[in-house]
Amino acid sequence: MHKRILLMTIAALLVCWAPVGMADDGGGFVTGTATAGAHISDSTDNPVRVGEYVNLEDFEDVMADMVLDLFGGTPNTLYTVGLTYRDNSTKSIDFNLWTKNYISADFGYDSFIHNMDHDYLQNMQAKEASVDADGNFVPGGKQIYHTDNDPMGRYFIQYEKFHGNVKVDLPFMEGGQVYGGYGEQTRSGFKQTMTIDHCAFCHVESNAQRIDQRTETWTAGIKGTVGKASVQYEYTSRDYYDHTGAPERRWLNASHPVNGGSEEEFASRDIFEDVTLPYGQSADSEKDVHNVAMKVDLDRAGTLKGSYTHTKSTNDFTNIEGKVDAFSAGYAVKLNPNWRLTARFLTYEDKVDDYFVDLPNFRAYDTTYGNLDFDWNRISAANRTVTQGDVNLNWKLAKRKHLNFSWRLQVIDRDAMAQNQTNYIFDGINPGNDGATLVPSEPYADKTTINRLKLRYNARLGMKGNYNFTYTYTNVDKPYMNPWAGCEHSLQGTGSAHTGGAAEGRVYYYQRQRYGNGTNMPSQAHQFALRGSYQLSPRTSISAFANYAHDKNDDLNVYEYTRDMFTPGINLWTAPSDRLLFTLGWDNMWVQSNANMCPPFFDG
Amino acid sequence: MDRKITRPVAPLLWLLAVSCVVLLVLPPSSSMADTGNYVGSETCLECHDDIGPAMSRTVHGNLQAYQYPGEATGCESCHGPGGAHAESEDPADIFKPTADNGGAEKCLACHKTGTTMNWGTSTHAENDVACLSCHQIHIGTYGKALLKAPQEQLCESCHQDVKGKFQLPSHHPLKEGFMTCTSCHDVHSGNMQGIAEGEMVRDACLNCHTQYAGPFIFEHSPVEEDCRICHDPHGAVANNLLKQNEPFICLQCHQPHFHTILAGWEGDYSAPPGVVDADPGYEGLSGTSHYDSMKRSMLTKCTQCHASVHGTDLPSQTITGQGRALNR
Repeated sequence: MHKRILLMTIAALLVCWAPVGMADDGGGFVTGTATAGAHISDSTDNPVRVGEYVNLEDFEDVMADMVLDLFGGTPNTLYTVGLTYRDNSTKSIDFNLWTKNYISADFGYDSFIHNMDHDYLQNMQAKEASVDADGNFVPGGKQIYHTDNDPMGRYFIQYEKFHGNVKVDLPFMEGGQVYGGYGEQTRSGFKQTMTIDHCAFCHVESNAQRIDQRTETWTAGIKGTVGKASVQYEYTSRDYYDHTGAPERRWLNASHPVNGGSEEEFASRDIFEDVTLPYGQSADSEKDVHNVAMKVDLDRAGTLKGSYTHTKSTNDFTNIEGKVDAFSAGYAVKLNPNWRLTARFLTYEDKVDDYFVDLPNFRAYDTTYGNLDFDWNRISAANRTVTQGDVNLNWKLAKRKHLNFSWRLQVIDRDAMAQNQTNYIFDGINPGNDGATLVPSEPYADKTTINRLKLRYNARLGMKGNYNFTYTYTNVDKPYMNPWAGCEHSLQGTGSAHTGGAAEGRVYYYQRQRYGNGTNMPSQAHQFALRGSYQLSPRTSISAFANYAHDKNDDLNVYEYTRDMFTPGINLWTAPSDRLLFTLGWDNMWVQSNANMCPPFFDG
Repeated sequence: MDRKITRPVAPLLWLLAVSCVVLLVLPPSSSMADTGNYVGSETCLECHDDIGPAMSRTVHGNLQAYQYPGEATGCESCHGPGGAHAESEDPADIFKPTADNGGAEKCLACHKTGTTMNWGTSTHAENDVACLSCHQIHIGTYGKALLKAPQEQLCESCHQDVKGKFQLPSHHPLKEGFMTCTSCHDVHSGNMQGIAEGEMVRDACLNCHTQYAGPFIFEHSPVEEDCRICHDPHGAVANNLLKQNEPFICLQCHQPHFHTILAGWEGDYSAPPGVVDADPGYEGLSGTSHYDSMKRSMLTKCTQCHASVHGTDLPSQTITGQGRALNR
């Protein structure tokens, strides 16, 4: 309801304000631009892929395009009004007001549609091949099937955003101002939500899930300057609500797909079975941010700034909390007419609550080979202390010619870049579990150190053009990766057979003895960027760019990751008259990268 | 419910109350007297009459005395004392701020707080971008922020490679007009990542994609690390701004599912004994399979089963998976 009130208020302001400006003969004015047009969207293939933000209900229809921009004022105010209308779900309105009476404000609303794919899951249909006692191929026990409960579904999110901000000057303080704002984003529509039941067979089920989510953001702050110091404090509160609740589905009775449908054996592998449960849930959450910042002007000695930010995030479903404390500092000084130095520093600590995941014992009925404990303590991958700093030197070589050199150092010290799975090693030490020794879930916590060097040359060609060249080299020690991405240790020498007998179940655990690293993050990266633009005539200009990047990671233990990317482009603008503009552009992107793939064991 | 109303509103009301009291107590602003070689804007406009009308339609042309940091007001607050120039009419006798001669310092004399507070240490300032590169002072064409041109055009004039990415099939709705570059970036920021001060990159994403904020019990670690490990926020060929299509983006950090290696039955099959494929939950148990059907099922799109790839609080089904397969 408050959305409508806000909209009506804005509309009333718009209606009232413009005539006031026009009627005022003491200096009032209104200027504006009205644009009217039409558009049509069509496609011979999946319209979602080419019309991501087009209302599909209007596909193939001619739709109006209307834009109105007003800029006006009275002796005591200035204001702008903007209206855009494309269709009922795609429109915007904004209003900005500045007054001589200490107050300024802005309000806005816009909405648009984002179309999403419908996955028909048709690839999810398979039956395993098996061999019978006579050596003939026959249909096996394991199979995959799917159910799309909404086969005709069209999925989209309707985004609606409101914002309103009010600023009040504090005239007793230089630059003094208090301000407050409210923003709201709602997402409504339907999306496809999937989940899997593997109680007996792999059954992927898809449903239409209604979306009714809202994010509210409140902001309040105060700022001003006292002497050489400028200070500001800002508080932000963000709340997220999902009003729909999660969809539910029935997980079936667990039964082994091969071993005669044994229920006990398969049920004891699952946390739940024969139950209706929710899935695709998005938990309500809240976030509070306090930020205080200060800048001191030291005249010729430069500018010094610093800030502190405290953030607390809470998952309202689990009450898990995350806290971030961040300190930043910066210094900029002109060393002499030709040299400028900038230095920045940032450190923050991110800490999310640990969470103990209490699970039933695996195959609890089988006290010889089973009854294994997979409980684990989840240590958040967000936990980290980050310290980074950079120095930038800008050298004015000559008039309109600058050379820039910068160095950045960043150290990311994580509690858990990744966390491995609980495992059992069959070494004969623990007779209670057929010689299986528990290997608990452990975090991988290596520290990442990033060094980045950047050189940039920037020059202007008189008043007609400019060009620049940038080279960046980045060296990363222990970049982010999954340390257990693939490649199991060999069974050779373990004393375990992987077929037949009671030991068959042991093979399951070798899957998680993966040792191969995997990532798409480089340990070394080279980037070259060249850009230039030139004014061919007062009404025609041309610009071009070419970027090349070569990334590689030779720190990985089973392969070397590489990525090469080349992106050139050229653009031409020409304006035969003040009211006519032609643009012609060509952009290209070429990317090549590799990855390692180890086909895994199958546990039987 | 109380929290939702009282917590955010309380400081806002407090600040507004303070400001209202201040407004009531303080006298209205008064004009500043010209001193020294200052001659006042009226003198300037005697010759520069082309600038006056346009300037009067900008915030800069309507400032109150309390909004100036020094004694000078009007034109001379930026251009310095105009006495000598008014006398000689020589352009050399007046300061004309440009991108090359410290024009930013003139702007920052007033714009000391807010988003411009960190301009001195910003990446743009480092790279010779000046206030006047994007803003014009005398004409309020666009009303907001005195931009020389619509924001996207300004940003794209330098960041042409980014402009190219926004033409790719999957992109944020920038060219459609529902976002601007400053929806994510703080162009005046002193932050090394070009986003809001004191925030990590993922916070910029979560401002709109709040449903992925968590913190969740069952995480996908790259979501906590940096959204850009999987997504290119400016645009991509693959759907959902993915840097590569599934499963290739997943296979860079994970090995294929262990069922992938199973050989598929070639031919028709019916529901297993004891199961009727018309029973609720079992529809579809008879069908046709191919040699590669297991591979096609298990190696086409990981998120068909691992749908909660951004994290969840609901455990997945298997005990050995420890609930963290992101299936729910």
